[in-house]
Amino acid sequence: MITWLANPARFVRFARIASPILAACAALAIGAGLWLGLIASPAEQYQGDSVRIMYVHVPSMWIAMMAYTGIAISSLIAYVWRHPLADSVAKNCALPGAGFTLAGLITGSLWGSVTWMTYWEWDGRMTSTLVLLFIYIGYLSIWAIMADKKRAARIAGLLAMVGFINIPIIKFSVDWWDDTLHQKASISTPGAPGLGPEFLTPLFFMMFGFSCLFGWVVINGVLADINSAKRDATQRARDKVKPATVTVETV
Amino acid sequence: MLPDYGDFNAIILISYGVTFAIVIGLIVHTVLRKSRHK
Repeated sequence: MITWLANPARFVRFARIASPILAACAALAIGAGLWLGLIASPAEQYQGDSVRIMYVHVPSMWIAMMAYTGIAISSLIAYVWRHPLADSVAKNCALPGAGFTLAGLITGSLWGSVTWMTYWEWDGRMTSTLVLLFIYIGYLSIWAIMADKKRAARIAGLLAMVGFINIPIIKFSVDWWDDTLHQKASISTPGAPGLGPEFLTPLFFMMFGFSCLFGWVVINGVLADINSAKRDATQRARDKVKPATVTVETV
Repeated sequence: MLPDYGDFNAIILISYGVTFAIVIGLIVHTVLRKSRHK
């Protein structure tokens, strides 16, 4: 599949079909998630209505980690197999990843202000998430400041692969360090005292909607890169065939 | 209209506001890039 999509012409054909489907799924799922999360779902027994922050906090952090995993895998593919679109996929995962990390940090901080009575605590989960935001900023800065985009891809890819060590730290920090305020995994852990379906349904709608939106952003970003590269190539070809201009000096 | 969440009105509004400001920003950025590189 990856090798098949590495061909730009095939990717464009795939993107033309996938993009409207992802956009429609994102709009429907986020719309349903908002209605369920803000209106239809009940308040939680202990947290009250503040539980509604979970419907934006958890999906934001899910995308933040998924996007970074996408960057690391794409960078590895670019390094090992030199697929032409892998660097573009990695680059286009970064902006939504950084945006959702910021959203996750802000919403988590606000949620903490009413459940833990503090906006911030330097524990494993929050600190490693802040580190993730800094890695995203560093990654985007490399792409932004370097004029030679091939070199930028090499350096940013290296940073992405080294920085991937932070993802398992974020995921398992709540298990590794006991002095954390953040709750342990309650959705993905089998047998954990989990959430009821009235809370899980809006959460999954929002997670699915945000995932589709993320896919739409990445696909269209890569399409924009392909079109930009095509335009540059056409311009270079035109410049090559242009006859040399003769300047005639008039007296 | 949205229900009244009591003491949590402000933090719920800010949380959803921040998240959807970022979502809308991403959508606008993507659409602008797409139209620029058509």
